[in-house]
Amino acid sequence: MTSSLVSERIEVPDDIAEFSKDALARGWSDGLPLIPPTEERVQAHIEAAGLDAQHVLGVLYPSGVSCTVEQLAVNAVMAGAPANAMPLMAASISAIADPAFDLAGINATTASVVPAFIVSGEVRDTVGLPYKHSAFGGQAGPAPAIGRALRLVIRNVAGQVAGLSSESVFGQPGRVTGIVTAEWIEESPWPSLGERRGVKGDSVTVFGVLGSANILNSYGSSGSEILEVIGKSLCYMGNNNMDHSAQFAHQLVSLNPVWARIVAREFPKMEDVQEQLYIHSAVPIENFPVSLHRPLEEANDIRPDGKVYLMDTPDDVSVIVNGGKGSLHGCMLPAMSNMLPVTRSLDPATWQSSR
Amino acid sequence: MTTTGEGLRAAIEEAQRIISADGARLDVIDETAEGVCLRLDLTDAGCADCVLPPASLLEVVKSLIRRHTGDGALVVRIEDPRD
Amino acid sequence: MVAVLSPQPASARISKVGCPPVGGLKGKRVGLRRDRFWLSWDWITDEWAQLLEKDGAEVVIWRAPVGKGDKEMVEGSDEYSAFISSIDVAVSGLGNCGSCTLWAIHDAVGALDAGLPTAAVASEHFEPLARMLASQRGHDDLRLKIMPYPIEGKPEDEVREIARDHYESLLETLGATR
Repeated sequence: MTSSLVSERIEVPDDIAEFSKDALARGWSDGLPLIPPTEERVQAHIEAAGLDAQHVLGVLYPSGVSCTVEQLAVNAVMAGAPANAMPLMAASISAIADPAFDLAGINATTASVVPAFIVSGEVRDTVGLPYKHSAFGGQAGPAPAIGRALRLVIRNVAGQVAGLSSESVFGQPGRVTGIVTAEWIEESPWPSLGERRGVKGDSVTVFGVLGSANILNSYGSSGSEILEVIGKSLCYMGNNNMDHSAQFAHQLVSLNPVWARIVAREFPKMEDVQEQLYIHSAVPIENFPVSLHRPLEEANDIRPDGKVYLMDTPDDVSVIVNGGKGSLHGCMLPAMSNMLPVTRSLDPATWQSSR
Repeated sequence: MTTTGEGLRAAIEEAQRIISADGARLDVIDETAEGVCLRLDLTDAGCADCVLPPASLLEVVKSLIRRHTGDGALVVRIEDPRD
Repeated sequence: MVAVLSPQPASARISKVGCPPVGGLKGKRVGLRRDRFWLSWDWITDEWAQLLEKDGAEVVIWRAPVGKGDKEMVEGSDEYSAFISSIDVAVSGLGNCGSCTLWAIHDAVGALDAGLPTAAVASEHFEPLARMLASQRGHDDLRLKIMPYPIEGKPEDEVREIARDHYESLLETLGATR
């Protein structure tokens, strides 16, 4: 069934290299090659979404435009994202449009923040998302194109343009291909992230993160040790939420499957894992430059034990399991401050803004 | 009316609705092919300063006339007792 | 050549940013702009300040000067710039007459142009004017919270109750979440 499409029709070169140059000149592009979004290709993506072309996924900022399935499909075709990922991408756009996520802040800030999409459920295998080796990047598959599709929506529909509407000082690579990964739930001693956040089945959770960083602990003798190393890594002094101006943030950590088993032997409950990360992600005030002592004190960031804590409560960190079984490493995705993660089922009937 | 009559009438009615909230009134004193002259009547206005300031009132009326007549070249004058 | 669909909706090519939602309230500095005309607005903003603080926001109140001359206008502008650079969210009121609606919208647009999530507040009688003034400044999408009319002249208790009754709607207008 074909949908009635409302996007402007424009004549462009049909050669991919020439079209890519033309698209860059028009301001449509991130600089990488693009696939011409012909009506036929876009219709196929819309059909795969299972939604009407004019269904509004959410209002995106800074432009304030209501992003439709059609607009997502056009950008998804350009990015080379597969049609069978449309339900996932639609849910992802709905998630970032939720006011709790503060997309307006993310897209304008000086920080290097990017939405990271963590996928739970069988859609992982339907689409072919990475969750084993190189789960966050480097695994050949559709994830970079899916992430790129979402980034092109943020460029072309939300209107985030470096130096114009985005003040990000450094940007980051995730602003090109996005961050899209899935849980290795079969190796996880705990329920899926989506389930822990109240959504069973296929879901996507979006976090505002400042990139990813590796955490090495080659000894890895116990759950306590692993979590202490991760906690102390998370609270690096320049973590956004260690600054006196930040109010709250939600960190994201990934454990490789081997570490997950070691940690779960000692801390079978996720709440206890979070508690350990919370306790260890704190820095004595003496470690801060003297000039920061007063601002931190005035912001009530120094606790009675003389430390500045990264998190307000243990609930301010999410832990997932993925990555290769080579172990030795964890992954932290430090959070942008003053915003919250949002989870969406892939079932559009459940989409409502969180209040 | 001789100048895009219906549009002008609609614009003035809308302007009237806006300023009547402060008790003021706009009367048409003169109308030519080139434009229109209005008088602001503050007799029943609760406070003269509450009505849109003169320059802003002129801009609002011009904008309404432009929107309703499609003619941005019409000259608009308002006799405002506050001037 | 081949015909493709544009990835950019026409309205995304506007130069002015849309009116962003507040998002989470907790930790945000919410600026409430008062004027010098309406006692009822003082009571309303007092009630809202208490409720916003209960919801985790920090509230800053600024009273706009009455601009009678150039000196006051310039000082007012400087003060206002300082005010909006110290806050994360702006609520500007009260549009309850022609000229005060003009200034409330003017200050709301100033905050919006500075990139702040913003709402203007006007009484129902002045809603058409408020919307027209916002539109003239290129902000058809300015978030506008409408209060009942008349509001000035009612007893304080009654005005404060009206304020409390309209608080949820204020949050919805702002696109604010708890």
